[in-house]
Amino acid sequence: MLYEAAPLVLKLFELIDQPPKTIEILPGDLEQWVSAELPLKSPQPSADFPFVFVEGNLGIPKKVLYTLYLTSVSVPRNADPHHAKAATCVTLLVNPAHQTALNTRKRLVLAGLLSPEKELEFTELLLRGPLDCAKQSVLWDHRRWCFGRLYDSLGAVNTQMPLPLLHGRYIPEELKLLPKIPQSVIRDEFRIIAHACQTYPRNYHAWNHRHFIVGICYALGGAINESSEEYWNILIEEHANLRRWIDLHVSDYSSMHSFGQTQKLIDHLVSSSFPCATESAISSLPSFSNHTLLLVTHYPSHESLWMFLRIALGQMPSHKRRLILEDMQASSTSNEAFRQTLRWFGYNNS
Amino acid sequence: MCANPTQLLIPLHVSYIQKLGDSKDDLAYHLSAHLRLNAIYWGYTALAIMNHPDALDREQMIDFVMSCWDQEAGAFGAHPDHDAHLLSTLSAIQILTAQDAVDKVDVDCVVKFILSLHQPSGVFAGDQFGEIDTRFLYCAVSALSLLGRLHELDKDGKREKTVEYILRCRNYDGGFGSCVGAESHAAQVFVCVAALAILDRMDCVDVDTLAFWLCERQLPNGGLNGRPEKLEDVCYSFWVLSSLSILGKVHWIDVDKLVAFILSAQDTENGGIADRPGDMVDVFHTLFGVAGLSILGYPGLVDLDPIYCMPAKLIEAKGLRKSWEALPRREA
Repeated sequence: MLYEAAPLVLKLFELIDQPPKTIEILPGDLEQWVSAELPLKSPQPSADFPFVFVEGNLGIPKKVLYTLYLTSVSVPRNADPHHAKAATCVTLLVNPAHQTALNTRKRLVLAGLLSPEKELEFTELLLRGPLDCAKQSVLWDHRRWCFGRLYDSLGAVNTQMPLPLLHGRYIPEELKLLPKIPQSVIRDEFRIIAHACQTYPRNYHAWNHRHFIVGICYALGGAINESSEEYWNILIEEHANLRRWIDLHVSDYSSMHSFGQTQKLIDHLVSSSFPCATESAISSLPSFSNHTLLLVTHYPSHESLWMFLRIALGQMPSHKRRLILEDMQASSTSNEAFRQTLRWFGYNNS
Repeated sequence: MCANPTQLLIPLHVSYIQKLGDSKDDLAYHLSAHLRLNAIYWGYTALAIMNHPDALDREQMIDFVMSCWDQEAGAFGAHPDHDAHLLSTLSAIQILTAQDAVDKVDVDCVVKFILSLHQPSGVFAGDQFGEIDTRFLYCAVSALSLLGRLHELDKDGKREKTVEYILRCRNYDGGFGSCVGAESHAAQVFVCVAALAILDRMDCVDVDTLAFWLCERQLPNGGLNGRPEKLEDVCYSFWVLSSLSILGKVHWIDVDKLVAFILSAQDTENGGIADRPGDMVDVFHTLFGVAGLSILGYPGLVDLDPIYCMPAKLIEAKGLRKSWEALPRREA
């Protein structure tokens, strides 16, 4: 079935497909930007080109974009590939939760008409661009789906050493399907996640995505013949980065939850024998419980921190935990977080 | 807008919901097309709780639901020409059940769609493309239950696997996340606890620990948040309260303060309820505000089943009532 998509939807798609370095939704309408002073090489915004495109950075006035959206969103899901790509691209820019638009793009990938690499490029632009995009679960899932199309699966895992936490985290069927994402891509992914979590705090789905990537690092690190140790080094490096993040975001419980999950994996690496390079990296990490105790001492009013302390103590061997709690109890603390912690572990605060 | 309304402005909210479909030329209408069927369920259920179930035309509603049928998938999308998904399929089943129009649906087809999304791990994907989330698990279990086909999960150990998956999502704080290892979140707590209730596996819940975490969601202004140190939001009046209701611990929170908070988020000119006072209203928060008030025994409202988020009488009539407690309905 043939139809005419509005020419500007196609024009916008061409710009996004280049790809630009960044995409931003600008305030107002074309009128506000028509006389903008731009560098010489940049095209002047006009009715035929209602965009601000400067040195590879694309800005679209909000009201222009919404007008294009009303056209793009009415393009049927069985449209021809070219129009489907263009329409869904514009639709998702405005409405990143539009499930059917994302599904249409998945169908194009499956038909070999759109590459998973381009999809990762496009979704990265979205996640770094309009504010709403970074909190959409469907966009993060779309990236995981693209990884699955792009990279081979782990298959039946032959690990260098038993990884019980892996088998607690995944059932065998799930483990087999994990994509073997290359290390450089893993590093990039951590950066994209960090950006999303910075611009949209407590970003539930970004932190979940991080959990997925951490799991892949842990699994691939243990797999034979996968040049594996470097995956564990990436994991440890990210764990150190996350500790620094927490110091700067003391009400961000999502980061603390994530930290606790990764700490379990690192504790397991510490307690097993594994290559020296990884060992020295781990030994430079300060103790989990000391870190949380320090934070709670300095910022006792944060609910997140006393929950973080609870995670840290909960993951310790019970004899070490007992010593810390007994110290806390003996100090007759007025720190509310310490009192909550004592109550949680069944100690009466004197 | 007058500050601090002390009553639920039912006629205004009814009128707000009735007018929702009028503004088809508005950008907002098109921006929410991907949620349309869900929005109809939200509006219709809010009207039912406010005792105005006939305020929207029944035939038009049923026709719209059926226009969302995705023939290829054998289930419902959120809008005509949208892909089928468990979220919209549950909304469709809820609406048709309440309208006594399930006979219009090829139930075997829908059941086949739902079961096809069951994963080896026990969770459900939302659609054929595989996004997993405990929300979809709840949608599947609730839809099968409403259709009288929950026993389909008894084949091949699917029921046990589903319960096992929920258990793997349980965190040390007693709460549940969207997938294994995810942070506890009040909305995910609701879907996991409600699913366990439908599956008769409330033994899997650490009641006191979870109820404590849920009560910690109440902020000094009376509103509830969904996670530690987040802002209050009216929709958590449902996600948190319904969970507490299933656990039998609604009385653990400060009821008067929460009622006052929900009432303060009303638009006193045009109707509707927002996420918090001063923000723009929407039908999602309107439903969950009145749903929360119903559980809190607010006068003049109809009893709500917190597990299915549908009128309690309807769920009882279908023999689906499980254990839950709401506060007694107060006299006006």
